[in-house]
Amino acid sequence: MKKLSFLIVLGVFFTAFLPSQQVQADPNPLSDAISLAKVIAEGIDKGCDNLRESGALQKRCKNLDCIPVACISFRKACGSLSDCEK
Amino acid sequence: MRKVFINIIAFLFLYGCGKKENTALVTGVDDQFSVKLDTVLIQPSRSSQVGRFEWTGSEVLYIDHLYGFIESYSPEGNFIKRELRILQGPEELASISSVSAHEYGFTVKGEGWTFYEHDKEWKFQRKYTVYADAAYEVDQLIQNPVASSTMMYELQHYNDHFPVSGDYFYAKVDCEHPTFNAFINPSFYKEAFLVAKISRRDGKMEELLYHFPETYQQYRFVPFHIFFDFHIGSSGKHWLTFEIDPTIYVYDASKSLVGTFGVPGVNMRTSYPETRTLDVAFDTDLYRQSRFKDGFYKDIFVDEEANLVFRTYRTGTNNQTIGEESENPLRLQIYEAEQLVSDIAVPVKFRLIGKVADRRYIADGFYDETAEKQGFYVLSF
Repeated sequence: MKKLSFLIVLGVFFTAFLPSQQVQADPNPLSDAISLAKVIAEGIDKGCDNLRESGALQKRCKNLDCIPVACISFRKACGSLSDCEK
Repeated sequence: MRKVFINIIAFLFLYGCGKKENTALVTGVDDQFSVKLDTVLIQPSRSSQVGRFEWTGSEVLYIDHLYGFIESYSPEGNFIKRELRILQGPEELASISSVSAHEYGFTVKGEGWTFYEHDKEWKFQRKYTVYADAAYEVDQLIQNPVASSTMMYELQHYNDHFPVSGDYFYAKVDCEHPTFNAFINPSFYKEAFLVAKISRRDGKMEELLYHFPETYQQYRFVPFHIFFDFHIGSSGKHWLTFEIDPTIYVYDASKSLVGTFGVPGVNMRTSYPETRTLDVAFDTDLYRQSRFKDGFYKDIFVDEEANLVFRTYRTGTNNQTIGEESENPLRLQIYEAEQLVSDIAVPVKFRLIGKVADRRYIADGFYDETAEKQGFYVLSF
């Protein structure tokens, strides 16, 4: 699980330093996302979905909250809301 | 002695029963009828003012999220009893997120994706955690997203509710796959599913329903306005409203689109800022700004028997500072036979939850942390 957290945080860190491409720009977000996808895929535990039964599934930061999400989510891991406010 | 007696009577009157205040008379857009909004204050045994109200069909439930309990009140605001509270045991309810009252009892959402079933007497029946059929390896799915796979979806956290129909409940879902998501992929707005039908036996996501309407194709992209709301009528019909779309969509029990209606709200700020990169997903200021400044459609409630549809919308604000969504003004549209008959300002947390009688409805909710007061609204016309 630590490996998963580390890799997700690494992925988020990686994307945070990509040049910001706002409205009207001609971005290439898909290649950025594929890089991120590879990072996440390597970090996901086998049987991630089943971990929910034991309550072991990580929470991640989403829309001003720290909540359980799907295994495939690109969001960064959190233990509590304060982790998302950093 | 007489003074003490009067004080005791006054105390019992104030705290022993609901207290009505703030009756507001508001008029519809075309004056076909007037709408009255009362606030009924309640006095829970203790309250964090962080909670919600729900309607059982005969009683109002107050759910306190922080203290973790459910209490029932009459529509007049009189305390009836404490129904449920969180407990410490490993198999017991550890927190209460929301409650859905239905003909078989109550479905309570606890921590995460775990649900608890209770009968009509609030006796615990079973618990389960929502899960998806593992038809794919997760790493395969990350490389090659499959929009129709339930493994792709998670329970939508924003403004969630879980209407029950038979052995199933329906839940809003969201997908945040690294490449198939609302931030970077146009096909998301065509192929992503929005509602999951979930078994009340074991929590399995059985079926995925509905896609975004065509309106979303006009934007590249509006990831902070992908929220929507739905209402299931007693006939099995579904009504859906989407944040950026003035149209209300009606589906029959077999999930076929059978009608559309709806008109734009008054003075809504609808110049939605578009974003095209995934990094905006991590920018909480952008999210907060969208929820505070933009106008968007919000909740829908249907009184099928009376052929009335209620929909709320936020108008958006000109304010240069960043505020919370709860500070974004809210208005209520009322449609009768699919024709707009009223459009009025309502309190910022107003959300219709049930029908008490003909043209009389209960709504969540009034919360004042400073004054330590809370209550529900009664809308009548």
